[in-house]
Amino acid sequence: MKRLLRLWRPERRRREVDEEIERHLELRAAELERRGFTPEEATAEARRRFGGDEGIEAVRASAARRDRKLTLSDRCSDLRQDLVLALRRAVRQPVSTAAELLILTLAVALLTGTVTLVDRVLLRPLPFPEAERLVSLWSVGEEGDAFPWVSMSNWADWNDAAAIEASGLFAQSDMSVTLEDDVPRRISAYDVAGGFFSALRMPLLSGRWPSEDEVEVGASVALVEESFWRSRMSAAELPAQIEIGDRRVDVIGVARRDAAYPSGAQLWRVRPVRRMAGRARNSINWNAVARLGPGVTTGAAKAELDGIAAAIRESDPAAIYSWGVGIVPFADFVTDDARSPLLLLLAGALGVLLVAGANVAALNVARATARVGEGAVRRALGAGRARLIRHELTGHLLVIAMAAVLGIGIAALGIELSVRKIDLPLPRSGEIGLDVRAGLLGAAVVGLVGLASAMLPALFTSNSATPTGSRAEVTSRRGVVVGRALVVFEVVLAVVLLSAGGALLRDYRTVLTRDLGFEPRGVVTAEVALTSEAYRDAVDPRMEWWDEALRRVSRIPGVAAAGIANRSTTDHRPNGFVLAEGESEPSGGAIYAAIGGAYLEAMGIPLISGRAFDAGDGPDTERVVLVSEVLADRYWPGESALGKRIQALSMEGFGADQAPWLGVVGVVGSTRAWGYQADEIPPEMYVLAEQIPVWMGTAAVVARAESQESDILGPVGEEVRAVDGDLAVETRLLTADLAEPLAQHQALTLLLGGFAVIAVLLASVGIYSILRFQIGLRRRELGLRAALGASGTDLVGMVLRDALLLAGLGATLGTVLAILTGGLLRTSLYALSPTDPITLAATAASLLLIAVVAASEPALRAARMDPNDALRRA
Amino acid sequence: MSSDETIPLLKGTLDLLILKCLSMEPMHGYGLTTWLEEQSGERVSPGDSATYQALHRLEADGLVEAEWDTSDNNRRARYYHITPSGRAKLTESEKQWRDYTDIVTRLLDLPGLA
Repeated sequence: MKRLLRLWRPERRRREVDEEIERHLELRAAELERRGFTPEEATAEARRRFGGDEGIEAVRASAARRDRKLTLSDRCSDLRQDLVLALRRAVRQPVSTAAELLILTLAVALLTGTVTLVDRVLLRPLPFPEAERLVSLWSVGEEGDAFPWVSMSNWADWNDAAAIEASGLFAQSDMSVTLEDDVPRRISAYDVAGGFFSALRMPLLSGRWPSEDEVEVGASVALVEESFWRSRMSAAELPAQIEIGDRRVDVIGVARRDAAYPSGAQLWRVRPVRRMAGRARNSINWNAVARLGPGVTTGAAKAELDGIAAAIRESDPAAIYSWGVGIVPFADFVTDDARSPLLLLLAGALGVLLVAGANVAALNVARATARVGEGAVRRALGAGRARLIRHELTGHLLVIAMAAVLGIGIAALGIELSVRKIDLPLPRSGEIGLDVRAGLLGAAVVGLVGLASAMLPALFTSNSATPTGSRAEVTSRRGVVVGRALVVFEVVLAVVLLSAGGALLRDYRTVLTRDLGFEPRGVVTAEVALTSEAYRDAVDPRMEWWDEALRRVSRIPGVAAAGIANRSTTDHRPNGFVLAEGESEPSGGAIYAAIGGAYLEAMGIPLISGRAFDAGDGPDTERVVLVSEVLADRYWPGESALGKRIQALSMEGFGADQAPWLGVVGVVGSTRAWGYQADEIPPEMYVLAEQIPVWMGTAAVVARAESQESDILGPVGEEVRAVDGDLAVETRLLTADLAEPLAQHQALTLLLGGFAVIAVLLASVGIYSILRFQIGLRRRELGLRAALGASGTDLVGMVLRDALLLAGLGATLGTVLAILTGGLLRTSLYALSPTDPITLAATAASLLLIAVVAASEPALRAARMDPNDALRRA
Repeated sequence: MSSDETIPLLKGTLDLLILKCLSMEPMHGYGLTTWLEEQSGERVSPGDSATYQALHRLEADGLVEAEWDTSDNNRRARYYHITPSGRAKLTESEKQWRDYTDIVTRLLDLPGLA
């Protein structure tokens, strides 16, 4: 009663104080009258004794202070009561409380992690000032097809455009760098030209960008990345001297770790700008970045650049990549590869969140329906409906708050770990770090979903007006229906997630089992850049060097075959134009490889017809070439390629008059030269390294092991290093090399697969708990059936059928949804269709299987039920 | 010092006296002021306003509670009663008070300039 009074309006309370004072004054006046005061005197004296208006005001104020304090402590005691009840319930139901906490924690962690990634990589502006003015410039071919690569000569002309404030080029070029310790190391480096730094306005930790003069002549200067500078150069004072190859280079600046572009670059070396005409314009092997002038639209810039491109084509008809200039916002260019995987991950995390919400709701509905009686009793005792709902929510808020703290903590750890320990296969990975806002967003979204799922059962418990049997049963049945619907919903989402994860996994495996046209297992490569002074200009010493390396490697026990090739990696393979005899213009390109020794045997590339290179071929004999079947079919379909002649334009000279004719002596098997992930099998040509040693500057020894590649990995490196101790040698397994471009695919597969596993686990927990709970409710019915002669098998069958019904409905709807949303996956799959029937069928089947497993315990429980006991207790 | 003069109350004493009074029976505010006056032979009078302020203070601290009830002459009045924590507080304050006056008295009893 008192509490209720206190909750009334403040005016009411104020009236009460006044009434109390009035009563006092009346009683005092009455007594004074008894002592002989006149009524007027008595009233005046009573007021005087009370301290007059001042005294009355003071009492009103003290009453107001009291009311404020009591209302507050009332609220506190309500909260305390709610918390005590919530804790008591948590202790009484430790499993379901722990389950709720675990599920919500997981959801917060996943959401925080993915939101952080999406925010850092996709949403934030690039870490450069006024980054919205940065664009990437692309070449455009005759068909209007755009390529992200440009030729230096074309770019040099574009660079004069008024629309462009500054622009520069960059190209990956791993280098052998020698620091203070005199040990040459290969590092991830980029060649840059033009105004690369000034266009980006790359923020530096110290030092400076190269000056215009240094840029123009390509002075021997370089910039390094912050962590490289700290760990490898011991934060040396600038300018610091290092050796790239055996050339001294001044390091003049240090780029901040979070603003280093491209991601993973350790060093940028300035190269001179060279303008060339004719087919040189077709060597598109740079990326271009430009900063548009303030207020210049991409449309205006494109119009001007297209005009320049047209002028180039007019003066230089050989320029085939000058049919315009493509302009792409630089942020899109940087994050392009990561966009769809990250959005997929975000969608996956949201899917897990929904499953988690449905799961918590289903758990709560089951719990709450079991407590229908409790709610009704408390209501009958006078607890208001709002109070009951608030009470119910307090417990969930407690769990949600704990989940938020734990989840953000786990996300922080995960992000810290993935940034520091794992090389995230993502652009802008240097900028990734835990974001408090992402954490709060994650926690808020999970909190809302958690609250919504908690509201559902709260409505149930507080709804039931009477605690007696029939009404409670009706409410319970309604709870069961809602719980079953939630479980179906969980299964639907689990199927969608699992089919996405399954498609990625199957795609990954399919891609890895693709026939490459060579056998990467057992192959070790040792790549070397012959950058020393002795090898740079003279041509002959290179072949001597490679011959020596090959001799040494071939002698290693366990090496079955060894050869050399100008490049060992699958990416960065030069792709040059081919002109077949009889053609006037080159009609396409081919992978160009200079090889020597037993390269074909080492790689496992079969000879189809003709002969391989042999001892009869040498530096002074006629130029010979091996072509792949794909190349042979393209130029001489239906005929033998043997004896035909081709020119390797752009690789061996830009004009038809410069490049020598190469005679085809053999046809070899085609290979997937661009790696597992590439759909296209490109035409390939192999020339003899001895006949064109200019290409053997950066090359590799390729060795095949008789058994395990790991047996020869160390020895190959040692022998190659022994040829010349001053050179950095990088030994790798070919299998690892080929897997590298798949790293992002693999990471996405792992993460989405993980999400799917979580969703499936949650769904199976949902099926388990709803069935088990239902059996509790149907105890009477089951007992009756058993008493009427239903066998244990019948009861087991009944429960299993029920589980299959739930899972089957969910799986069907889920498969439909998976097919409808499959388009999201398309860009992330290399070999499979997103609606791959095998994946979908396997997913649905595994969900049904899981449903049966989850239902087995409740089913056995039903079968073991003692009819007498069940009937008595019901 | 004349025996008719009212003694000003020491700080905190009013709360103690109110608790003492309410520990005997529930009372309304006016009853409380007259009780204090009568018991002290009108020598202790904290003032009506101060008494109510003290009551509200004690109420806010949960040492007393109040309810509306009908008084002897059938008028509504707000009756105050002591709570369990009020009783505990009374016991504690009473002991403190006695210790305090004992010590002060003993010190004043020491020989010196009287």
